[in-house]
Amino acid sequence: MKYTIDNYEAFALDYIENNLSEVDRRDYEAFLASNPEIKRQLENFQLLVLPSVVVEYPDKNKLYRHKKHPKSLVFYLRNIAAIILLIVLAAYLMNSKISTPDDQLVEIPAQKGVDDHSLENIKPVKENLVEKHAESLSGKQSKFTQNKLAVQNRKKVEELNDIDTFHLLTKDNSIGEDVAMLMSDDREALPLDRKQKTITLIERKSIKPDFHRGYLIDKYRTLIIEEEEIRNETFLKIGRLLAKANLIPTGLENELGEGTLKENMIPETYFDLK
Amino acid sequence: MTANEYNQCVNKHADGLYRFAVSMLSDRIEAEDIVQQVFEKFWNRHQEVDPGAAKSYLFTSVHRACIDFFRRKKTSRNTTELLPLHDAAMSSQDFENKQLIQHMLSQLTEEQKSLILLRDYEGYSYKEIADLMEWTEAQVKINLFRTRKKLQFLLTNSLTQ
Repeated sequence: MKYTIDNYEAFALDYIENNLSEVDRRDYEAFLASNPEIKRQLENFQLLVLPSVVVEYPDKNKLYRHKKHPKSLVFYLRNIAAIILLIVLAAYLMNSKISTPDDQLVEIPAQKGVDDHSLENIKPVKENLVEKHAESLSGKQSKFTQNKLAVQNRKKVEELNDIDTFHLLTKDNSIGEDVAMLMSDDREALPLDRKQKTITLIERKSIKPDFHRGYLIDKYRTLIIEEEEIRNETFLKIGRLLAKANLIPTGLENELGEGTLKENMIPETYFDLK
Repeated sequence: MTANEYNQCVNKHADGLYRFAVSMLSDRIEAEDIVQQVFEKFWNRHQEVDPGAAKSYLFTSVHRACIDFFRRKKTSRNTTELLPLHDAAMSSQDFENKQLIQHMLSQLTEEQKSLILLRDYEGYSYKEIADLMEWTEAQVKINLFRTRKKLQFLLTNSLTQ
């Protein structure tokens, strides 16, 4: 190998580190002998090697990767079973909700016309509840489910006869009792003001809308109010007649004049007048 | 390369890469970021890399990232933070020597530092360094020779002061 000033640096380290072949080493030394300055440089050259330093990367955990293991068949089967169980539970709960409606307690048949002021026609239609409910579901559910619903509804109908149960259902003891009376054959025993109050409270508590019962409360209330109006008018007429006969009780002239004379203001003895 | 082989690369080379990056950049935080980024890219391509070529791949990537850092920041010789070389077992003389070396390193250019660190810290052959820095072997030897001459000059000057 021919060494020159232009290429001697490329082999200097090999020479110093004793990596040249015998032949190349002799040639290099011949070159150095011809170039004393360069020879002096290499003789004074110290192969400074950096001392080793131990340094650790601060947090190797950030660098590691963990391969995702393929999920086993058991894992998938377990997930499928859980999903199936959830579907079955949801279906059961939905069926339970359909079959036990607390909005099908009573039903009042539609009243035709306002002339019929009798409250006799307003009856709880409990006996049709089972059949009607079954009919509504027949197109959608199996015979087994229909029978099951029928049993549940029959039980609900039986419960309606129990005022305590009715209280529980309406969550209001006072209104429950009055409503029950309203819907029963004992409605005549319910005082008029309580009837009105009951109807109003039913409307406010939204029991009517939730129970699908066709309460026709509006019409019922209209009947009550009309009845009361007739009664009030009647009392006024009676009052005027009494006034003409100078038989109006003392102190009630104002009420008579304002039309606010009430039945309970007139002594009972007056009603025995002939 | 499998995930296990990748993790083995982390165990084998993370410290060396970090040491190299810190020595180059004189910035531990930046060095940590670079090493993390390099391993992240390495993971994304780990299936394409042969395990035998992992070290070269990693050091090449870190080296390039360090050079890019210098170009962006245009910092070369200002030392802000050096390697934590001191420990309780070290003698005061050793500590002074190492401080001196670090000072001398800071006087080198980025390329000179790369050469010295790859050769002395990581034990790369001239050919490996050439591949990493995309030089010829002759260029590596010439520049390394000149770098060592410079280090010697700096050492001599510091000792005589």
